[in-house]
Amino acid sequence: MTDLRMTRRTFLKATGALGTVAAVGVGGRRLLQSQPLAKALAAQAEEVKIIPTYCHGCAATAVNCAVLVHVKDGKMVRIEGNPDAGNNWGVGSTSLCAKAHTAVQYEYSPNRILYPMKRTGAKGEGKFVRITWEEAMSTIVSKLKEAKEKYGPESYCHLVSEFYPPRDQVARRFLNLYGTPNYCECCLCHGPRYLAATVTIGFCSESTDDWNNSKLIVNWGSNCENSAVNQGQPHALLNAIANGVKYVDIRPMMDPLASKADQWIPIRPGTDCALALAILNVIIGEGLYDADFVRDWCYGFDRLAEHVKQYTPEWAAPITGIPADVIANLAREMATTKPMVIKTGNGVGDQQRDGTSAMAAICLIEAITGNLDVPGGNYAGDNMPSMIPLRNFMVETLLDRLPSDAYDKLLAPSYPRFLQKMPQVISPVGFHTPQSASYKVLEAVLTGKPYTPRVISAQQTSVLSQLRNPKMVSEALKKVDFFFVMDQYWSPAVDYADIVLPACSLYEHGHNSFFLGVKNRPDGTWIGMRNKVVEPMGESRSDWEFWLDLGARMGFAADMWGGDIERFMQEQLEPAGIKLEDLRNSPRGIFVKRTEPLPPREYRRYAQLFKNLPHGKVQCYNELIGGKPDADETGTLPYMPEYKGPPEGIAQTPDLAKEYPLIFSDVHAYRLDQHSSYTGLPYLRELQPYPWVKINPETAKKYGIGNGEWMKVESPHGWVKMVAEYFEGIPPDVLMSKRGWWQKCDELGLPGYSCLDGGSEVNVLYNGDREKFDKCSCQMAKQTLVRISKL
Amino acid sequence: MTEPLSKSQVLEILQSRASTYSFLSRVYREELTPALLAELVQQMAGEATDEAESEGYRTLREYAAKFNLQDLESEATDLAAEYAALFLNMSEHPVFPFESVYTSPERLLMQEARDQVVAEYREEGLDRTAEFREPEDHLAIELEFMAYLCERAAEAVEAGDRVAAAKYLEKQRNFLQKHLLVWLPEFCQDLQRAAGKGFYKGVAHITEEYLATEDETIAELLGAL
Amino acid sequence: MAKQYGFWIEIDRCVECYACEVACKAEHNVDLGIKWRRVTNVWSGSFPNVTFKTISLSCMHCEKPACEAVCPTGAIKKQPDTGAVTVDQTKCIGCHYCFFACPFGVPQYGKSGAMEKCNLCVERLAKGQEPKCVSTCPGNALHFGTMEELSKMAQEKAAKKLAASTQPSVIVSK
Repeated sequence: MTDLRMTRRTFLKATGALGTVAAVGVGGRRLLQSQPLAKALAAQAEEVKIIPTYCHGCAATAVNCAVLVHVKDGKMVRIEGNPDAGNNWGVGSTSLCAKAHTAVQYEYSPNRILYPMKRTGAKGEGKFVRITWEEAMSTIVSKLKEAKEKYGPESYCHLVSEFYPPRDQVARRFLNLYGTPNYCECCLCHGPRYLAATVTIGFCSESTDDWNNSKLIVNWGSNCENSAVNQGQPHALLNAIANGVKYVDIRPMMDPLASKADQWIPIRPGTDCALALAILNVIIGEGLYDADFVRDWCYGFDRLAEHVKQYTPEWAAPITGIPADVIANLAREMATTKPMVIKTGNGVGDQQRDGTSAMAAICLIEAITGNLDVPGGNYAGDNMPSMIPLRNFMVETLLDRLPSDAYDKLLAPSYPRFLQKMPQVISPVGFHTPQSASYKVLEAVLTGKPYTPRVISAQQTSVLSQLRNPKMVSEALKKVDFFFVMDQYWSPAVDYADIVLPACSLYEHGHNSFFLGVKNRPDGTWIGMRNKVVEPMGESRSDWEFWLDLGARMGFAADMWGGDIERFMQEQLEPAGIKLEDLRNSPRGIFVKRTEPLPPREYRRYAQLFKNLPHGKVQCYNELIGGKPDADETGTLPYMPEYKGPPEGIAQTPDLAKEYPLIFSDVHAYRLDQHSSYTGLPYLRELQPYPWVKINPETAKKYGIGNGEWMKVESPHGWVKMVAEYFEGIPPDVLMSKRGWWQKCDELGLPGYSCLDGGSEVNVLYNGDREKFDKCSCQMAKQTLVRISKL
Repeated sequence: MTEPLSKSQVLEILQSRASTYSFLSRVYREELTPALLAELVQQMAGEATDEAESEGYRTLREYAAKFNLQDLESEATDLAAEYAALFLNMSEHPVFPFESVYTSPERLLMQEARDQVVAEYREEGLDRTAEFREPEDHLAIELEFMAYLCERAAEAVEAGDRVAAAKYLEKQRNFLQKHLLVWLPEFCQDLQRAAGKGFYKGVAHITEEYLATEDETIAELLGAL
Repeated sequence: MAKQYGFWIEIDRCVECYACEVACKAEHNVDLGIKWRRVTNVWSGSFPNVTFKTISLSCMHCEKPACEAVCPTGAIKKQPDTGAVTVDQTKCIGCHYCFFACPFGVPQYGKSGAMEKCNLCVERLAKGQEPKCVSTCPGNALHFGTMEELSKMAQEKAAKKLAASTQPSVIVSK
């Protein structure tokens, strides 16, 4: 007893002494303080507050399904859909997808970066120290000023994923004021097919409003039960099916909606252009087209007719893996079942070597069969006036402030330069200008061609895992002079950052892009406030705040709302005469009833829809882009859709196929995550714990790979380790997987997987040679050939 | 049976304990400034005692011995980088200094443990300061709370108020058993593993060793009242 | 007057999105590895003549619950006002008898060892709300009501009550 006491006392004395030192050093700063209200707060602890806001788990749009979050004593405890808003199928809907329900796990994940960091040690060493926001912002400002002075403003390139309002509204404005045109797009989603449709038929509609009038709905490469679970599309399709619509699903794998189709057509990944051209061949060849529409509203039909003669079903069959008679019958059906609409998606027009042509050909199918903007066809959308007019800063990006030679200075146009200079044609909302291609910009760091980017930033995008060729990306990020990233987690790119900025969570800010939060309905328009649900943790801030602050520090305060986020939000509401405070104080949102009855739905608005196209007509022979320089400026764009097929494919590279006999692709969107986001959340990760490859059981058994077993997947470009998931609804020569597995899940004891060779990032498998990218939109093919073996 | 402690001995122990808790809280709360680090190193590099030393002290003395006081800035930066890697998620294997992470089934922040400690703080009329925006079951706060209770107990002893002193000591024992001792042993193991060698490994050992003595110390103090 | 509430699942409207599974887990703080509601695919055929149906099932809240009948401690009770079959975990000894008796394999056992399962969201019912799974289904595939109400709604769809001697309170239709 005595000894113990002695040891303990000495121990205490020693630490006590250290404690004195510590206390002196600290100057008495404390973490706990007397709080007169503390006892009162304790009494309130049981109260549950309900705070309305928005989830945006499924898309980067930042305003999506309106939700009600339950908060108890400053802590999020539960989430549900807001029935007032009109989510999904309409007012009264409380539905939400699986992702939304992980709100609490998302908010309280311990893995977040909460403080600004700066690199110490070599790039890639992963050594960082905490700094203040002041130091972080000053550093960034000085680097941006230095780069502009030494190398010109174009040497600063900002990398983005697809659509995200904090960037599309305020970052674009900042970049235009700063003088760089290099807003860098991933070129992997929505933008490419939007462009293809716009230059062919003048619009790209995703409206499901008229599906109940359809007699045939063709789901072609669209994945809405994965990408838009609660955004109305699966629901609208289910209703149409219940109402007796004929439903055909053209996708490589039998996803849930395909299992409900009258006909599932398991097309080979990356061959949709061939199928579309063959369908045009049959429709035109057999005279099944709508002669009136063709005569009145199509330009160059005869040339198209001649052009597609070569693309017979017999030609397309070995390419697509679909029998010629199935192709021919499908074509006949699409032409003669009226009205018909084709729902396209990422799988068909955003990640293929000839995605632009594929999408253009599909639009032409709709056009020549007389299905554009007709009841039940490709309806161009309601012109329901909004009862809450808003100021849309996505349009007001101050493009005119860019130097006059900015377009010439675009480092790597993500779509042809000449088109970028025509925003009135391309449509300022949804497809922006100017724009460079992220992948090529990163390559330029290594090649120095046409010039070297000096400062790169990334926000809300995991560039190292989500583009192609992660190795190249890592080398580029390592080499670039200055790289800063804003994120919530240690994503793979953070390894190479000079400065890391902590982004707060979706529930920690009330900064808004109102125009997307507006739900415009036949009975009126509803708007809700995005509310801060809980206080931002640590020193995390919203992506909006970052740009306004940066703008103010760079001397652009006058054009960036004085750096004041409240002012920014208030100005959006001005045209509607709504005060920000009033919206904040309206927990049920503000609903403005329609004062005038809606006119009957308009159709066939062709003069309006085609007005920006040459001759004011659908471009069967495309004079808008044909013969003009492509995005690379090494060649010209075709006048009519042309087939290329994937860079590696069974029909395209038969010699290679002898060594790599299976086709590999990925789903892009998946209902249990948002690409690589949310894969670390326990309730979602336990539903897909391992990097999976869906494989036909017969094929797997041939290679001795059991269900749930690790396998090696190797393409000519790299290899990965994945877990086999037996799946009957997939052809024996096709494998389907998913990108984005770098997040760990401690709760389940699961690791994050490496993004390089031998890891589990499927992007290492695909072709990263720009010669094999789509020449119009720089989209990068997500199809290749692989060989597999048991691990 | 040894004699009970005298009043001055009780006060001395309470003072020491308060300092110890403050020191540990400070170390976990944020990075050490160069000045503070230099002082600590100088003190640790001081005369080694003959008495059997704890692993924690040995580790810290080894760290101090290798420390280059001439290059203080660089050493401090290295240590700050380690702090970020360990506690601010800037590495593959961070250690989470939050009780909720260790005691909730899904290893999340802001779970039941946090609610419970907040209730304890509030009972004393305390709440987290506005500048520190992390959950209240952060190790630094829990340790500071213990320091606070030591100080309140010392005040009570000074004033001759046995009842109050006992109350604070009981609160400490309760907090120790219901909270600190529930998660810190595992946390310290994780930290020892993740920290490799050097300063934070030493701190992890000291934390573990110190807490192991607390139960008995409190019992002794209570017995002396 | 005793009511029997139950579920009606329209298989053709289920898109296997797992919202019901995850919503239920979030609502009740269910441990990892345990599912109170399960989404399952039922495959038929093989490629190319292949298809699947998805079904979402939780507890059947049977009219004659076998679990209640075999429970040695009386932990399992059928609630008279809702027909929900609930378990009092403080009384449960984790003997697994209910698991063996249930024709649907519903009972599961969490970290505590006690049995747990779907409780028909009785706390929500008390507030006039539907079970969480039903309220969150994006496809409107899952419905809730008294068995009479559900039968009426399902009549047109050639719906069938799930058949078993325990008389489950679940209707399944296309």
